[in-house]
Amino acid sequence: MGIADIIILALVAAGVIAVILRARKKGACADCAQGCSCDHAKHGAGACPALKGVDRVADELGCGVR
Amino acid sequence: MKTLGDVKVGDSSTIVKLHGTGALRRHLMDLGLIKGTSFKVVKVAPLGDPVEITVRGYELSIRKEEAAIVEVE
Amino acid sequence: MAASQLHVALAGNPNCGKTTLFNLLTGQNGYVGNWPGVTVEKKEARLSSDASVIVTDLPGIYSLSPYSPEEVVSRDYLMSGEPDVVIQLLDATNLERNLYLALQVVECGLPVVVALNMADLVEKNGDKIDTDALSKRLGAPVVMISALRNTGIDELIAAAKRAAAAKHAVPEHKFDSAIEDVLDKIEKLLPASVPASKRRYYAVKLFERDEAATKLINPTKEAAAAIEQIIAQCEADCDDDAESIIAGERYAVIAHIMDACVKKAPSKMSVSEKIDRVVTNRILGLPIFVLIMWAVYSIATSADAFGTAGTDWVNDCLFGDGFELFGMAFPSIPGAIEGMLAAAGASELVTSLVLDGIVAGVGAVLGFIPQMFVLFVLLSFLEDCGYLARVAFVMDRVFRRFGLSGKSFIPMLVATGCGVPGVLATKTIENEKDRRMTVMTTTFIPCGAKLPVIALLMGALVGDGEAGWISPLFYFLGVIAVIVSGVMLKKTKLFAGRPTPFVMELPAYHFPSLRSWWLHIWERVSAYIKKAFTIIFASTVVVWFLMNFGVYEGAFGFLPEITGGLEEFTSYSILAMIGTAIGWVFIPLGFSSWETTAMSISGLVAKENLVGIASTILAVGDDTGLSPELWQAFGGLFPTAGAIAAFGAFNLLCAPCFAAMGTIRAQMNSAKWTAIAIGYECGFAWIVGLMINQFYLLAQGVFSVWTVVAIVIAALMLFQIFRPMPHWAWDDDRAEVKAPAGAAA
Repeated sequence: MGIADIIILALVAAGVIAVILRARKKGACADCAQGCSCDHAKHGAGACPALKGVDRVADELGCGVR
Repeated sequence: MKTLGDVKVGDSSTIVKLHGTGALRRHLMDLGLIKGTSFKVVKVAPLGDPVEITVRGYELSIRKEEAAIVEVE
Repeated sequence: MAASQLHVALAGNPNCGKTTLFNLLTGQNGYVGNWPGVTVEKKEARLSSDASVIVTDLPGIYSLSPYSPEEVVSRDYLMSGEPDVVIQLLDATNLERNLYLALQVVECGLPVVVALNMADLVEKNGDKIDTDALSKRLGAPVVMISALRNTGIDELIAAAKRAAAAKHAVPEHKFDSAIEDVLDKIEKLLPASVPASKRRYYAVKLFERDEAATKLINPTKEAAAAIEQIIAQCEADCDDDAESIIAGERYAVIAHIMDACVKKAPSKMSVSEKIDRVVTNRILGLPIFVLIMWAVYSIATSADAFGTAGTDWVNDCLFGDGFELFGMAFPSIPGAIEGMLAAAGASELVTSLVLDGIVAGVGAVLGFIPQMFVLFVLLSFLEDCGYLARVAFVMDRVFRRFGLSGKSFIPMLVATGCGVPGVLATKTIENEKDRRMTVMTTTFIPCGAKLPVIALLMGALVGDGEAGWISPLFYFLGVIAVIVSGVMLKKTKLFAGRPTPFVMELPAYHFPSLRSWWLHIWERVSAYIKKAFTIIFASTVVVWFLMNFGVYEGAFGFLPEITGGLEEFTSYSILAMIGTAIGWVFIPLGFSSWETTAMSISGLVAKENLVGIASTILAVGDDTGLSPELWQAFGGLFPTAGAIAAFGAFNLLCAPCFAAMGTIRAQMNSAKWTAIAIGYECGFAWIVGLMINQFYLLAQGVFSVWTVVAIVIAALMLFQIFRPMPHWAWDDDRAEVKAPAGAAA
């Protein structure tokens, strides 16, 4: 295996590890369009910027009775 | 007793009384449905329910079951 | 509390630009959490123009009744002594209803400033609002603002500061003199400890027999009895109950205010109403919805449309054979990379990893972006213009017959983009059983990530032909799965119960602003791209590894080498071992090879993987994506068309991706219910796949024990769907809606 191989393999491995770490850190936010800059552990449904859109949609779609 | 659900599309009527107790009744009142309020039935959704009415200048959609506690003229 | 800090409370109806106003005032950087002890969101932040002012955004409410946690939290805060001034938001296009809350807020005895929003819209309609008269009648300064256009905000802040400094509590409006007498009497009976500014508020609440307020006041036994007598007398005189009397009085005051302040233009049916007459028409409403969604999915995936043409170009040229631009020939991306790798002297292993694994996988997924784009252009438009609200209205009746509420439909509309916010949207459903069931079934709706899967299946089923109609079919498969599940589950003990009340207002139609439309689209597309380069990338690497390493004749190693270039080396791979070990589950569904099993499993990580991994597995090096080869190769993995359809149905309906599953767990807040949800989804998917495959085989004349199983299950499902609702299902709620004969308590 030449030098090019090792470099490429190292890059790929680094990439995979980065993805895994990112997924662990962001949890459900990993796919979030906003790139969820909030700390996943801290925020509830209220702080998530993606959910802001949902609130707006839910708001726009009406207000329900309990 | 004639209720809000019995009013035909396009017709108007006036509320006589709200029956029942509790949160739903209060909520309907808070939205403007009280004794003496007039409203107009604008449309009824496919298959007959919910009912959309115009009251106090805005549109409200109400289920027939809930409308059942609203007695009208 | 620092002397220089000012506390401002922001009150108003939901749906009236309150959130927009809050964001304009504070810049979206506030603390978001919950009010103590309840699941009501608390939003608080400092004014962006003046950090010594703290704004607390109260939940959107219609009234200060004691019945819902949002209202209780709001009134408790207003009476707590912390706010120095209240900004009451009035929506000029809905003045009557907004005033109902405004009057109650004014009764709290705090300085109030009124923010009149959207007055410009009202004038466009021809109506005129006399803000001076309004200010006089309410006893509070009125500032015209436009939250949308960001005007009037500075004056509003200035007025609020002035009002807070003056500490001048607003003079109250007066009800009918008879009622005023009654309220006076009650006021006198309040304990002396109640401050002057609050006596009126409590007198009214006690008259309404408000339990929470009564507990707070804690009147003596004699006082309580006297008050009760006063109320009873009044009720007898008016032939109405106390709550109703006060509501009536408030509306009477509102009527006076409206007369004095608002000059209405002659009414004509608005454009919104005209559209609604057709779109939510009794007979046409549902078919129109079906037609629209059909069109949306067809356009996004049909052979002649922009979306597919774009996808084809990406797959055949960018990732395929290369293309010409301005008379120059460009190599395709795989071609270019191959060249670079060869020049660098990379080994066969690494070349295979990069080309057959990563590029094939990620490239296939990226290839669908043109189609995704078209899909979201259409969906975002429908969402932004207000049509989807009507759909909730239309579906509510369909749902209601099955014991569901239209409220459950809203998360599903959100889920057409991505399942994660769809599941999160279920938080608006207060009824726990309904919420659980909605969480369980929301992910049946195809999300954006499933579109490539649908397109792939389409190709496999019909090749190059006219197949624009197959993708809508899969969309409606999801919708029907939701309805069928709802019907079946509602009749079980776990979920039975009366449908939640759903009283909603329909916003007017409006052409979405280009900016918000584009933002929506870009949100989804960029998320998809990010996913491709992260999760899909990692998945293809892992799968490539599992596919290229295995045990051959007792030795573990890189298979292409140790098998001496055997064509079918993948059948010795780790992936093949895993797939074969699990694959037997899918035998009755028609597809049990390790390849299809591996694809299904990869779908748990992300649904796009079904396409990405398929591409990698099939090692279709040069041509990826929708080119006939991928279709053909993919189709070749299945014995029959029925199996392909079964595979599609299974993967579209079974448990969603990890991200969505995590969200389900968060919403259910219980491992048991999460397991039930995922288990149900997988089980349901398996059964549907089974039935599709078996009935297809039956039509071909093949009969086996599994055919019998499929028939039996189908019969059971039909039974559960069509049997009448068991009588115990709605018993617990029956007490609520009393027979009309009884008088109101």
